[in-house]
Amino acid sequence: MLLAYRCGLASPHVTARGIEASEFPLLADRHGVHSVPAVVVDDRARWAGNVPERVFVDRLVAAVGP
Amino acid sequence: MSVLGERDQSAIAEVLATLERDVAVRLDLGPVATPVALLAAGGRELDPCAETRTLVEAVAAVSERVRLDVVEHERAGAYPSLTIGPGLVYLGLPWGYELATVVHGIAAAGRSEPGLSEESLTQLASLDRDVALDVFVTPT
Repeated sequence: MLLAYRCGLASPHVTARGIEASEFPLLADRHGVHSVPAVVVDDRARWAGNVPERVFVDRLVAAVGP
Repeated sequence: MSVLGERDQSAIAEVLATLERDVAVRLDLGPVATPVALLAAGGRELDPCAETRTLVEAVAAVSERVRLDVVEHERAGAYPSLTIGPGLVYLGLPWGYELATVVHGIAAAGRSEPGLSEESLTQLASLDRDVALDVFVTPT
């Protein structure tokens, strides 16, 4: 979560949002979230679990695409 | 008396002591569009908005650099919603470990040091369009 916030602070293009899944189950369902932590990028890419910073940023940038 | 214990207050004060500038924190509260019953240990039902307000006010009271603004809404929506600095958002009651995340988010927003490697910063600088990054969590 903190990594997402740091990305949001580092880039004006990134909007970072933490969502408490049990309070917003409809939102979690809409994004196909079944376990936490789960990261969703623009509803185009998602992954579950904590990953190192390098992997996180790689996945974020790859999800945005060229 | 703070809702935070002495140990938590002191840990939060230590993190927020690193703030180099003021950080605006806005807490939006109102009727929850799709309410979900939240139970505390012992079975007591929690009011997420009231609990969040109490917690966030206690955090803000720890540092003069945290500028808290609480906005009450009449129309139902996704509440409680916390916005830190330029637009870091947390939806829901930030309890347990998530409170630490919020505190560290405030600290990150109030520091010039980005907390990311040079390689990550270079990659993020290559982004040329807006992207929404949502992280779903549960309190632990």
